[in-house]
Amino acid sequence: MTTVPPPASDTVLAAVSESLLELLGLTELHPETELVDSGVLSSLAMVGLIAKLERRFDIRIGKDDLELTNFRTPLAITRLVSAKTAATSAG
Amino acid sequence: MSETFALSGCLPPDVPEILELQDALWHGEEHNLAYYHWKYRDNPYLDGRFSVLARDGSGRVVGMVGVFGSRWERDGARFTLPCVTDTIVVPEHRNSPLFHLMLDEAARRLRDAGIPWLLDFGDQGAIPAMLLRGWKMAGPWPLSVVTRTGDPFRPGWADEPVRTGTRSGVPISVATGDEHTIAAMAEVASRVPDDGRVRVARDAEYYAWRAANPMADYRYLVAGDEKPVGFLVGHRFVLDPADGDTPTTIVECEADDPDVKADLVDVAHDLLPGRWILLCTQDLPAEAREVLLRRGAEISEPTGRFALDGHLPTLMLKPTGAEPGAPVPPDLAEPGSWDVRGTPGRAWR
Repeated sequence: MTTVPPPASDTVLAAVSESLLELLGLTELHPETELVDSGVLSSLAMVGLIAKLERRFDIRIGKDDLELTNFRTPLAITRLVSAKTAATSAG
Repeated sequence: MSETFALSGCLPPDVPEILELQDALWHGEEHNLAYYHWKYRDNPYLDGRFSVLARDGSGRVVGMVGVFGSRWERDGARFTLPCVTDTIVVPEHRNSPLFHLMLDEAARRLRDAGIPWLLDFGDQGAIPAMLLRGWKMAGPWPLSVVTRTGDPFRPGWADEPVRTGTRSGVPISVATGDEHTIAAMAEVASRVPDDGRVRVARDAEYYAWRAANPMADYRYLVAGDEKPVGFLVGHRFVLDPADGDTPTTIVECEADDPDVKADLVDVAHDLLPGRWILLCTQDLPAEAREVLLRRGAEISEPTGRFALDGHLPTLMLKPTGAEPGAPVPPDLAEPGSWDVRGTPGRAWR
C-alpha cells in the first residue's frame, strides 16, 4: 500500500481559505481573521464548511472536534485539518 | 459587527412587539396570542421569565429566544428544566452573533437562578455552532420516514371504525384529546417502569397542557377496551392544509407490551393523514420496527456527519455553570441518559 503524505500546511491553508471565501462570499480573508465571535462564520456556513473539508480531505470532523480553538480563525481550522489528515495517513 | 444589543426578559408590555416579531414563525394573528399564552403563561412548570428579547440601538425588537418549562423524571424524582423554543432574529441580523448572544444571556440568567441546564430540540443547522459555544449533544437519533402511496388523506377521522391489532388482538380506536383520552394516556404511561434514564414526566397535567396547544392538530389512537393498554399521538401543524403534502409526526407511542405498540404504529400508518409519516426509532421495540420495514420505511441512522444528520432528532444541552443539585442528575450530557421509549417525537414541546 502506498502511504500518502498529509498535505503541507500552506496547501491546507489555501484550501481552507478557498472554502471559506466561497461559503462566505468574501474576496479575501487573513489567516488570523476571527471567525466565530465576530459572526463571520454563521451557523449554516459552518455546516457547509465542515462538509466541504470532509469531502476535500477525506476526513471526518466529529462533535469532539467542535471546539472554539479549532475554528476561531482560518489558521486554527488549518491546524485541525492538518492534524486530521496526518492521523488518517498514519492510521 | 460592532452593533450592540440590549438584552432583557420578556415582560407583559413587550407582548405586542413579540407577537409582531414572531408572526413569521407562528403564522397568523389568530393563533399568535393563543400560542404565546399556551406556551408561556399556561405552562404548568415554568412561566416565560427566562425568555430573552433583543433590541437594537433604536429600541426596536430584533430577536427573541423563548424559554419554556419541561418536566422530567428519573428514579421517581421529578425536576423541571427549561427548553429553548421560538427563536427568531430579524432578517438583517441573521448570520450575526445575536442568536448566540441571546442564548448566552438565557444561560446566564438560569445560572444565576441556580438552574444547571438549558435544553434545545431546535434548529439542527445550528448544532456545530452551538457545540463551539459549549453546548453538548445527546443524539442524533434514527428516524423512520414512510412515504404514503395513493391518497393518504382519509376523510372522517372521527368516524373510523375500531381496528383490531393483528399482533395483539387488542381493539384500537381513534379518539379526541378529551379528558378520557388524557386519563387513559396518563394511566398507561404510569405503568411504564423506570429504567434509570431520564424521561418526560407524563401525567394528566402534562397531557392536558399539551393537548391544548393551539398550533397543533393532534390525532389520538387508544388501544384497549375498558382498560387502556396503549396509545399513540400523531402531530400535524394546525395550519397545514388537510390535504397538503406535509408530514405527520408520531410524537408519542406507549403501550403495556411491544405487540400493542407495534399494532398502534401499524394502524397509525393506515389512518393518520399526511404524505409522510415520521417516527424516531430510538428505543422503539423490534416488533414496531418490523412494522415500519414492512411498510417500506426509510430509516436514517446517524452517520456522525453534520451535513448528513441535520434532519435527525437531536437533543442539545447547555451547562449553565450552576451546580446540578438533587434531583437533577449530573450526567445529562451522556447520550445514554435519555429514555425516549414512549416519546419518539417532540412530545415534550
